[in-house]
Amino acid sequence: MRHEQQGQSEQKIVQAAQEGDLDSFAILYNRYHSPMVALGFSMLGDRDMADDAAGEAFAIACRDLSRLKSQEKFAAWLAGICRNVARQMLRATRAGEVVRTGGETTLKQDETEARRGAIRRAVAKLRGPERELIVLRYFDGFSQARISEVLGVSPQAVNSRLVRAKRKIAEYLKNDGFAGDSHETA
Amino acid sequence: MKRPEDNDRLDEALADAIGSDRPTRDFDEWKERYPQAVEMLTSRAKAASQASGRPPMKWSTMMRNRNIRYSAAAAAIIVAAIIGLTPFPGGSLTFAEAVEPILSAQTIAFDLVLGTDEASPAIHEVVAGSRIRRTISNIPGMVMILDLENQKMLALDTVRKTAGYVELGEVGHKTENYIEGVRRMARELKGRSDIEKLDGQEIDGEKVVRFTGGNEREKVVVWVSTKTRLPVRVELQLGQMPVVFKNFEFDVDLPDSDISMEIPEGYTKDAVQFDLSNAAEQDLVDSLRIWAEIVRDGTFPETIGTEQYMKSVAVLGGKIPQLDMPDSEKEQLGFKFGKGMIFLQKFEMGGKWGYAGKGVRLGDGGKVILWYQPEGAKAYRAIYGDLRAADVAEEDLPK
Repeated sequence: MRHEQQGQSEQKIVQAAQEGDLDSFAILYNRYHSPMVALGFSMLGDRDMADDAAGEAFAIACRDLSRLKSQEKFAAWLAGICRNVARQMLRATRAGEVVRTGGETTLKQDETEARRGAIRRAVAKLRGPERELIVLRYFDGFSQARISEVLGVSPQAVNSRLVRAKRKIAEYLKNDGFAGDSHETA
Repeated sequence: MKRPEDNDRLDEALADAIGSDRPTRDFDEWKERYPQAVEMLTSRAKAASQASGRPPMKWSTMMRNRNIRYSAAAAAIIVAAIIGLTPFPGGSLTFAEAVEPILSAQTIAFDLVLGTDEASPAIHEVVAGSRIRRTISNIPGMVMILDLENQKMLALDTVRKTAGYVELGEVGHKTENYIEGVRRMARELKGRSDIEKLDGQEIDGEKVVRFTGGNEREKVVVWVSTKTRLPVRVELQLGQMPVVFKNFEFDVDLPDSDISMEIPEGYTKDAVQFDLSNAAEQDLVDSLRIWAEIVRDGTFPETIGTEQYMKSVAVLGGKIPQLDMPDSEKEQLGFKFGKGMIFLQKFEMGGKWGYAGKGVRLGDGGKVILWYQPEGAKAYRAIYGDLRAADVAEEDLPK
């Protein structure tokens, strides 16, 4: 019920933004900027580029907002724009290889860095949608409800996909030399 | 440090490896970086308040007054009924603003029609950089992915699940990217003060503003919605060839797989390869033969050009299965027909050429059906009804 009320409230915010109210757009920006940065980071592997992608996505949303017919799908619509921007940046630069190599370019790695590198390599191996989910969950601790809005899937689907993604990560870590119990729950 | 293989430790490890405590850019910082986007958003409120004669209502104020949305809606309806105003009078919109979405969109989708007849087959394109995904309305099941940077095309038959690569050669740069023609003209005209602007236009019931720029040889007309401030129609005249763009979508979500040059899983690669590069006069001759012999009844068409080719290609496709010839030759017919038109397109877009084949039967060697002036040449080349070609002086061309 509360989620439904919040959804209706956001629809009004989107509508006001469509009619040119900058304060309303600011609310949407503050609500979704961090998830968009996380989304960009899941594709680009570079924080600065992810910031740029998110900023660009909001600029495009500003321009095209009047064409959004389903106001309740603002978050998922914005996420689509952000993915597109990130893809374009990826095609232009290839910076995504940073996350794919998982920090292997670092010459001296203590155990912490080794673990971080292994985690990032494992995350990079996931399929795109799973990687997005994991990054959204752990980048800034977003709730399942928030992730559900951004990705346009139900909270139940978020939960079950998160479980599967973490199970895969645990298996990749095991194959990478971090042996142990691979049974995971969310 | 413990291994990150159990639940809590995996959560912790993921947060540690991926998490970020670096603050994201705040809204004020974003506004400074994107002032045009802000201007675009706030101009809607200004225009709406100008139309109604009242200051713009803020969302926060609206939400404190439950009845406001009903009276605001009623006011909007009355204003629209009496004055017929749209929220954005075209007055403040400039040509530069009008074409900005076309120039800045990272992906752009649209329909285009070659020629003046809007009932002609429509080409649907999604363009992302140097990649284009193209489908044609009268060739269902065919998807073409063009890689203009590498001058190659991947042709997919989604019904038969076959795929073939086509070399484009110079065609890839010169004639295939129609939206780039619009972008080039938009960039050239952006700062000019002689762009003609006309308010009070309408397209399919939508209020639009029309901008016209260019010259006799190359002209662009852009219609922009006064409501969304986005282009809804563009007409581009390149030499003798008009091109109409409509149904625009900007920054559409485009998965990499939609513009990948890899043959999709489950598709068989065609044994025959096609090469559209280096189209020459002989290709035009072959094309004319196919047109007269197979598409038509032994006579040449009334007119020819890219527009007519687009209409005829489906007719040819329907007749090919019934032809008495080896399959390998049948497979080449469509491309032979097209390659000749690629050669002709060079002249359509800005060269000297003419056509007089209407009513002429294939084999009538006494009549010139087509002539053109090769680049840099003084003499013309003429093609006769029996499809021989020869040099001819300008004074000897059909009037």
